[in-house]
Amino acid sequence: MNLFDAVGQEEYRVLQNECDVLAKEEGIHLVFLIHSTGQIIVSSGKSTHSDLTSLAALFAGSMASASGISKIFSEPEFSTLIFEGQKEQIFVSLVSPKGILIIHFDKARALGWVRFMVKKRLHIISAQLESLVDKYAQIKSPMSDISEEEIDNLDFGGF
Amino acid sequence: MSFIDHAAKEINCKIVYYGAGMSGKTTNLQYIYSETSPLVKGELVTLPTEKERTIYFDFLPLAVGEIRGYRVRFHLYSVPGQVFYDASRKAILNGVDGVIFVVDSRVRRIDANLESFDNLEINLNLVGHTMDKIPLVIQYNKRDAKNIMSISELEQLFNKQKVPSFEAIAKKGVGVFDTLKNTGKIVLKSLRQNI
Repeated sequence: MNLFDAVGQEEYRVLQNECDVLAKEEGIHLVFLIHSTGQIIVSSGKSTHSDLTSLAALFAGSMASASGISKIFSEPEFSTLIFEGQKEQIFVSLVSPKGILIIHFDKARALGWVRFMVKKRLHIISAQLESLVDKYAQIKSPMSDISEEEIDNLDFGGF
Repeated sequence: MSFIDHAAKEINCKIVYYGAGMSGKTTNLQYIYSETSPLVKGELVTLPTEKERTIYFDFLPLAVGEIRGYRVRFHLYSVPGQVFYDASRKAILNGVDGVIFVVDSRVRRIDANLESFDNLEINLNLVGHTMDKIPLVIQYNKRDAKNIMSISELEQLFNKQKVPSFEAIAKKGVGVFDTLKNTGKIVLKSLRQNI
């Protein structure tokens, strides 16, 4: 279950499937799709990171930084980022104006293969994500039924 | 832009600590991190420079309770205060639900505070918000320092809008949670009204 699950079941299913297909490949540890504000949309993978929330915030920040750099260089966009370590690699790609796909893989996988697989799926991920974001913007929020008193009574974890 | 996950029953809100360099934004987050249960918080992510100033942002996810079965989580960010990191500040304000403006109360830092306050207004406009509409709370920090301005003087400079404001000594935790709790409530109430 994740962010947009109840909003656009079909779109969510397709996006989850796209991530699952990539994540099943040998050498791929983790695939996740996030919104540009740092919220996780879907994730899939053999490895589990205890703090995906923080990772999502950091990757959204990295992509926002790349966007700022592109403006300085008068480029429309730097749409990909690559992190290359001794054993681990991470490929980050802008898949729509609001969507960022992150793939964590090891040296057993060539970067070119990862880049190709993402390019192949770019169109479908982008279309489904845009549709999902549109639907999300139109649904009624649970906050509309919540009273000010209920907010005032929130315990804030006791602190 | 708050994210409401109907399936997982979660409301996620983004609150940004803004202010001049060394005003105490990171100290607020560090205190919150140190005083909350591991059950309600994620890792505190900090991206400092070699001089221990924030270069990009600090980040702390924090669960603050439930409203009608929905788990409420705040994503707390602090921005770099130094003037030359303006691009970072703009990026972090993207999707913001509420702002805590941290003022360094010392007389010698008033120029820097005012510059940062102006910068907040400019950057909010750039990401589609306005100062009078965004949930805003002001924290007057470093109240234990020498040569500080009085609260009434600070209110005249920074609080013409008459938003909630709090005195704080963030390094000792004074006023830290009061500021956060009140901001949280204002943010959640604004989400109700914006429906």
